[in-house]
Amino acid sequence: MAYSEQVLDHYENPRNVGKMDEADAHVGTGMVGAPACGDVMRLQIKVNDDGVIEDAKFKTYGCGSAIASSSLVTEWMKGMTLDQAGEIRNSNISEELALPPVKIHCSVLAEDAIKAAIHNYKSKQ
Amino acid sequence: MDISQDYFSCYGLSCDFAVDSVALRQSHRQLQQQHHPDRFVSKSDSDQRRAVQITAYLNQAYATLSEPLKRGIYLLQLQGMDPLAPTNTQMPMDFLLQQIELRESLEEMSQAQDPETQMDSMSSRLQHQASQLESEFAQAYGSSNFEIAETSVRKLQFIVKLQQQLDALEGALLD
Repeated sequence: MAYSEQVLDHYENPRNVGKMDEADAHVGTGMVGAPACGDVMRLQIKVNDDGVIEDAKFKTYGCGSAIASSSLVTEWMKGMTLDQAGEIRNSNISEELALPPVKIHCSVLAEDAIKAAIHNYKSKQ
Repeated sequence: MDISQDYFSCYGLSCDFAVDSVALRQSHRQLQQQHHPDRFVSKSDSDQRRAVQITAYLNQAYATLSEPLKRGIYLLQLQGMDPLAPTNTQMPMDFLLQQIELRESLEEMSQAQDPETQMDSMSSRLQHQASQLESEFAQAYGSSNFEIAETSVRKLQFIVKLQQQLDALEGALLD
């Protein structure tokens, strides 16, 4: 199955790969896993005092579509408020990356990682 | 032969995680021979088609029951559950942390001075975890704790995936 150009771009040049200090009160960490393919995703956000996401990092162990989905959302989230980021849906991601139906679960994983990171940040405040 | 029945019934086995692999293999071979398409070449079209259908069913059944992971998933499906549903991405936090750590060390292994020792030790760790999860599953399923069984089989899926990646790395490095 051929990957779309958008997926290949994010896969070959992933944005914002990395790790932040989980103990930092400004950092929210979301970890999710997709048993269907055994992919694991860690997504972290750094939120400033105005509730705006200043930075986002990810590390994904999985297929090209899962890496591209998480890379894309880290780009999107920077500059968003938590509420705006919480409105990102997997359909936005799969549309942008032109994911085929069998890879939709990768975008679901990214959406759930965002929610988990926001939830983790809020639970620290 | 009824190909709408569950895989356990077709081999005369009880619907349980513990499977007598010798009995399974023998029963599979016997049924396979009995329904082999080669025996139906001189028969009617519908008989031939039926033999092909049954053979496909038997291959699928055997592949499912002979592997612990597939068997576990299938047992839960028989209970109307879908352990690998793509919409369910919640896993215990400590398990995901451990998974990320394991994948990080797998990534570093290809550059390691002595990758073979590290690969062996990860492999035995994964095998240990897999057999623990299998007994956890068997116990939970046997006592109808299907949700606990589901978590075990979901974890097992990650372990099996990791083992495949480890095998792939081993193949690549030893080439």
